[in-house]
Amino acid sequence: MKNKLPTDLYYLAGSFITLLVILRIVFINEDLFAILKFSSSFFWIFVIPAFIMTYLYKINFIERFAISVVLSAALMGIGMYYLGLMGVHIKYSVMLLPIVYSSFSALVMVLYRVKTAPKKVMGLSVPAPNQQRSLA
Amino acid sequence: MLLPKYSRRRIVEAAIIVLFVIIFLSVHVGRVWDYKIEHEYPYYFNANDNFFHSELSYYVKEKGNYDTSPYYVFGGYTDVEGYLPPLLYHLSAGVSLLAGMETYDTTYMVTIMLTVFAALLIFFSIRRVNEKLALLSLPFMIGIFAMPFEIPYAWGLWIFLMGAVFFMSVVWYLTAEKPKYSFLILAVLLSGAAFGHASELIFSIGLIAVYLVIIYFITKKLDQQDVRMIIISLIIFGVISAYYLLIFYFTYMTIQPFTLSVMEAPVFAPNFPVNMDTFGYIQYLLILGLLVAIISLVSKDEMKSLINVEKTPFLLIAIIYVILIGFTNYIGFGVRAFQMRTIWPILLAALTAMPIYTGLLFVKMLRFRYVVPISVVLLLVLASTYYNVHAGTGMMDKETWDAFKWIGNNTEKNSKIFWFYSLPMVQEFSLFSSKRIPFKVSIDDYVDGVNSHAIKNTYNGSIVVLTDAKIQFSRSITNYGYHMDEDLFKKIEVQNTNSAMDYYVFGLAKIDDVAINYNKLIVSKMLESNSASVVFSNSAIVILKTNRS
Repeated sequence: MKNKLPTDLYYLAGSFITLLVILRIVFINEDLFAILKFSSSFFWIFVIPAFIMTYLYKINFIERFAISVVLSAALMGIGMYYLGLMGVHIKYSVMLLPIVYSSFSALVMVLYRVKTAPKKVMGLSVPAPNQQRSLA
Repeated sequence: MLLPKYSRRRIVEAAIIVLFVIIFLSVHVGRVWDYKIEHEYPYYFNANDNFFHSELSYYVKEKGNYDTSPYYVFGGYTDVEGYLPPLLYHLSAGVSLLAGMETYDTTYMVTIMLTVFAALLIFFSIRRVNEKLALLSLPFMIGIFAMPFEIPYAWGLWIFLMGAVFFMSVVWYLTAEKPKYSFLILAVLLSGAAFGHASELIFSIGLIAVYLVIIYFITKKLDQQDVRMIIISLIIFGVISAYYLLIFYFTYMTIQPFTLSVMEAPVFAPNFPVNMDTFGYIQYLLILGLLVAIISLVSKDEMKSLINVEKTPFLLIAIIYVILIGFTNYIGFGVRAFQMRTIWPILLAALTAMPIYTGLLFVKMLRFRYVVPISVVLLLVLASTYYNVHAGTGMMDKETWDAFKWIGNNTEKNSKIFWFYSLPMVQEFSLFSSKRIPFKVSIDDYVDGVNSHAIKNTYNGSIVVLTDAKIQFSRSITNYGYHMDEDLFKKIEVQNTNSAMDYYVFGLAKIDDVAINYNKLIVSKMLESNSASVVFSNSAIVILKTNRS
């Protein structure tokens, strides 16, 4: 699972193109630019925020993508609601929150990886005690 | 090369999923949206709820938050707490801001996109039990066997669909492995349900309880880690959702408390209740599948291995749970139970596919190379058979929408708009699209005028207002008042046209010819008497402004 995330980043790019193609087929009478705008917004709000969080699970890419859409919806909707009540206009929170959520998830994941990384003892890798519960 | 080689099987599965998504979106949105993603006016708006949810998304987008509700929806009151489930409004407002689309397009688009991905989560839940059964289930999830299944999409039960998305995700969570820290996922999903639509939150928590009971029966003990994770996730969910749930408690739950009552038909569509026979021919597959599922659950040996039920017995229990909550309209869940029935095609797809699965097993054709073409053929056949279940692009037209826009852009915010008989009055919440306080003519009084061939000096009418939570406002976090109880509200409940209104709107198209002619007569008389002037007109709508001396 070591290279799972970088690999999935390629798939993420592929899934963006796939979504674009799907929407192009479904909305065949629409201008491509309008579909591109929607697809980009969809990725920003419904994929990016929770995508890293889904690395709690060992699941395939499409399943990861699907659950990250639902989780992102919850995180973004709730985040924008509360920030709105605190006086932050939705036009700012919709830009800010995906960065906050994904940065926070990435930070937690990196810290967890560091904590559970195999330690080198006399040139040999020794797994950490809780290695079987790896985030990857 | 970073990209791993995916097996041919995975690629074929991915291709079928893509085909499913294309067909699902084409059936539920592409066709009825004229295969365009942006429109000049709302497409496929057929009922009050479509307009209402779209309007709230617009309001959140413009205001930037949902601390209070739009005054023009609540009779002019500006202090009505934002109490409706806020998730959809914020998400569609966000997409609208980023993509530059109108909220009447993004509100439905967000709903349908989330629904299709939730359906995929159910697919993956089934896949964990049996990959071939999952592939055979996918075509049935399109769910267009009859009009009642289309109602949540066509009639705007969109916040219900938001709740349903999280309910389906909780099914996915419970059937998936539960790694350390996955309580965070459950907490987010439950919070999503709370902010999406509270009744599905209740159904989700019920499902979790059923899950614990089933695990206890199977293993004769409760896994301490499972219980601990669920408790932690419930605590986190409580912290995240407490503020909104408090508002919900003092509004909806106080005004419409749970009662043990029986509802025979759904109030949102009395003529379109979903029952087993709504599935048409598919119902026979469904009933057979249910029998196979029950036998496989209770039998000892062969049948259990038939569908690999040992692996995830909970999926079948969850499906049976979904059927049962569909009938909770007999114990007080009323409309919420009927709503859940409308997504049976997705939730019960595994049952529907099970007879095909067992048939293939018995004729020894249960192989991937046979299952794949069968799945594709089923997808195409079901889609083409039921493609035209719901035709048309909705009740709105460009001319009427232009009138709404004109009112919103050119009238004072506190203007009172009196609507004579016209297309939008058919679904009166569409009048909120004018962003002004709408009043509508009393149909009885209007028809009386038509029948007597008389132009009256005064027409009775009433304010159009949402009263499901009695127009509540908060005095403190636990102390709420209700404008519906106040005299002020009673005073504006009934009005007449004696210069009490600022604008009068008349329909000139898409309604009965008699009404069109009668509207024209009233307009002529008002112009002749110089009591009003034309400020907007097109082929569908004419708007008069009261002349004040």
